Amino acid sequence: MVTSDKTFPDRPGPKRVMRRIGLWGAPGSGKTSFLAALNVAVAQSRQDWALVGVNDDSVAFLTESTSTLTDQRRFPKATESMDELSWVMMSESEVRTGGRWRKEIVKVPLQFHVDLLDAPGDNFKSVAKSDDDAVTLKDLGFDEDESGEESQSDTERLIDSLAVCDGIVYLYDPVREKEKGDAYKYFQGTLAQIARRALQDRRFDGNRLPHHLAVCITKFDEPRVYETANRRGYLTVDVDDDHMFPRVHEDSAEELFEDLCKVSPTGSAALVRKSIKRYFHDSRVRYFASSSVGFYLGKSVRFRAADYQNVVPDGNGGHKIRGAIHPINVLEPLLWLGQQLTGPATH
Amino acid sequence: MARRAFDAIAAARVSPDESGRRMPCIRGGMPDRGEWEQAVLATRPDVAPESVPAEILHQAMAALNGSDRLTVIEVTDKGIGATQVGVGPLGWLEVMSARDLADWTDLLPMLSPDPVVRSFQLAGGIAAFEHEQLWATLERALAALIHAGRPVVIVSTVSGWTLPERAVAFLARRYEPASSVRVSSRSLGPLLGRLVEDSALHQPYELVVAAVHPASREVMLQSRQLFAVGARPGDETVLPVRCVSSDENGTVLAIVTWHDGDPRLLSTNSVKLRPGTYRLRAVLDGPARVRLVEPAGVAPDERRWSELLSLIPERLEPSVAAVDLVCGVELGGGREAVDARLRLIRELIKILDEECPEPDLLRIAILGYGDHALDARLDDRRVVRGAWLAPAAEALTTLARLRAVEPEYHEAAPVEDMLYEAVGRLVPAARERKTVLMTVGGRPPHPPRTNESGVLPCRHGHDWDKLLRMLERNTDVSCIAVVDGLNTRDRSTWLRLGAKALRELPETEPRQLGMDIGVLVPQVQRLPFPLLDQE
Ligand SMILES: Nc1nc2c(ncn2[C@@H]2O[C@H](COP(=O)(O)OP(=O)(O)OP(=O)(O)O)[C@@H](O)[C@H]2O)c(=O)[nH]1
Ligand SMILES: [Mg+2]
Repeated sequence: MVTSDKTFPDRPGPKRVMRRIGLWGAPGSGKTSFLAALNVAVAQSRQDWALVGVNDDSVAFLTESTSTLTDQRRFPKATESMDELSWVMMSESEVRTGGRWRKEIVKVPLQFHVDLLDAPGDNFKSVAKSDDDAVTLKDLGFDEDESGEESQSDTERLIDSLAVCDGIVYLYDPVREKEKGDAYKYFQGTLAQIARRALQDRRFDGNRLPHHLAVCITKFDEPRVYETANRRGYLTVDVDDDHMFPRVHEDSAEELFEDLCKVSPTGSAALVRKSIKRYFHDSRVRYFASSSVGFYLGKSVRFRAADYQNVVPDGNGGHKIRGAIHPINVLEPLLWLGQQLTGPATH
Repeated sequence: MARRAFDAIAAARVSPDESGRRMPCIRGGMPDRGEWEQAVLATRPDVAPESVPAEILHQAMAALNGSDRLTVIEVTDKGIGATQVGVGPLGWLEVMSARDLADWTDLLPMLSPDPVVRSFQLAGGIAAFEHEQLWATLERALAALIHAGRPVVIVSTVSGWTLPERAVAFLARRYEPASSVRVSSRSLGPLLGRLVEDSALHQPYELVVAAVHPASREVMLQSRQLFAVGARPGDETVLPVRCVSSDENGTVLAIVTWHDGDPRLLSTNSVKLRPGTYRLRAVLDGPARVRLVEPAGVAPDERRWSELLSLIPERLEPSVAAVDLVCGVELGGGREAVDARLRLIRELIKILDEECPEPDLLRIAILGYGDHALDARLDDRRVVRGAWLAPAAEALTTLARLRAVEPEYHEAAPVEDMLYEAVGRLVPAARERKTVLMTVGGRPPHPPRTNESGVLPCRHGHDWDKLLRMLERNTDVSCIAVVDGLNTRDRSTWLRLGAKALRELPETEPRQLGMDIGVLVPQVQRLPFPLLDQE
């Protein structure tokens, strides 16, 4: 990865930090859709954000995938090769300046670099058995190439990039977990590799990894996920939201994650949670209930609990999107990470 | 002199012309002209005119019934014979035993072998015989010869002749109250033949009908009169009958006559009729010949009687009087599937229409339901198309107008929109007619709201379950359903929609459906005989 911390020399202020954020999740957990929805989320945000592609590929990805979601009402195809995407998120933030006599509030640009690797989820698969210790042992030596040279190098590259990121967005797909129960399989291997790299680079912060982690429970719009949150009473509504979309309250998202862990048939989700606790500082982890497409509105201007499902089977084994998309907690995890990474406490 | 006068009378009886006067057996010689005229005058036969025996016989024949045997005893110069006329098995008069004369010489062997002398003796020239013995011999012979039935008519063609008169008197006494008549003609044969041929029906001709015991519903066979005694060829009669569902051979119209306490089958015909009441019009053509001119299409039925009897059900449940059938049909799910559904309904309606007793007893509503567009913003189509209760022909037209729609969504179909239309009309109206709601589709209804099944809710928020419950609570509409194919996920839903009967389309026979609906009666409820109209 090329980018490192930079400041913009022409503009003063402490918030012009470029940080790198990585994306991580099992196959089909919604990574590509998450990125594709980001553009829409930015456009719909009440804050003035701009998302700018740094290179042609990133620009193309934005326009294409956004139109797939909104115009064609389809999801992006499963990712086959690794895409390095690089955007800059730009906004302004209000900062107090001035000395003791003259305080003023100035608007300073707030920018952070979102370097994302959209990789096929398969790359996150554990290279060893599902046994925790086996991985740890294996970490110590060099990885044996077992799955083909190219994919191995892709995986390497992916792990490398995640390891050097400042923040990680981890997508946890409760629907897949309920059906397959393999979240941990995809989680542990990658985590072990990241830990190894951090160890090598002496980046460990005490006993924990230095990264900030945004855990996004994806597909919040799915009835099974939504109804779970609803039943447990985790739903709130942001009064400023014209559409009155339900959200999972910040404090409840972690509980929702725990609840969803319980319905995992293999219990692997609980292991994921245990690992998060073990490897990351509590203060650097935050949970979000996200949806790339959001809830269906139809003709209504307000969310209707009776008819909110926005993703339906297309009859050919795939899915299609019913109506307009309203991403939920897609921008927010990035902003949270961005804000965490700009503070002096971060590094 | 007295003997000559006595014998001349006998001779004049035999032949009142010159040949009589010259008969050698007249004792005391040939009578002179004066004596002969005297004799002829004394023997002027006391005969009835031709029409009298015809009338007597006609009346006797007309009154015949059952096992009566009209016995016509003929007494002639040749001998004595009896002819019997009775009611034959076909209810028509028949000459039973041929007229067979016993010669006088067989009866009275002492008479002369010479026919001329014998005639003279019969006519009264019996001076040579011991009278008491002669009478006794005659009576013995008659008693042995004649076994008459009843009534008896004695016809003598030799009026006044001593021996025949003696026989007539004896027979008249013996067969009291036999009528006797004296005629001049020779033979009765042609008259009897004419009378028999010209006679009327002597036993009623009846139609075999079924009757149902009002309480036990047991079916029994009876017969109802078509032609009464006295009916003549050319007579016409009308009998109202009611037909219920029969098999493909139609309704049997069998005509019987009761003979000696047993029914005798005269003819078996059948005609294909839809259930209903009919005017049966029959013309009597002759013995055992009844022509059924109405209803049209009556044809001879070759089946054996025992076979026909075996078709009669033990019991017959009361059949449906009037039915309203509401057909909801899904128009999504592919052209082939839609065609199959529409075809089933079409065939069903045709069969129902054919078998329904009267056209206005059957009313059918067709409610085709399309689909809900995924995005309500793009959807202003009507979901439910069709027409409310109408006669079968109109329903078929409505059905023909329905077109398959290409659904965007495959997990559910707007059954609930169809229910909403149907229930909204069925519940408020007082339902005195039997009503059936039939849903024919592939996909289950949309739920009223999003739930964990992940099946999209109804765009209009209709709740199929609530609608069905409303129907169940407020009406006794029965629900049947035909589903393209049952899967475990939707089974319970379809079991509600098909609470009375649930079938899978590929295995569904329209006729079977008709029975589910209750318009068509099952095989065991088919009756090949007509019922009397009054029931
Ligand atoms: N309900 C719902 N489904 C989603 C959402 N995002 C993604 N999906 C479903 O998840 C599938 C996979 O999404 P992707 O974005 O391709 O997931 P991915 O992690 O990039 O998958 P790989 O590239 O194969 O690793 C999509 O085809 C959708 O069916 C969402 O926000 N809501
Ligand atoms: Mg992808």
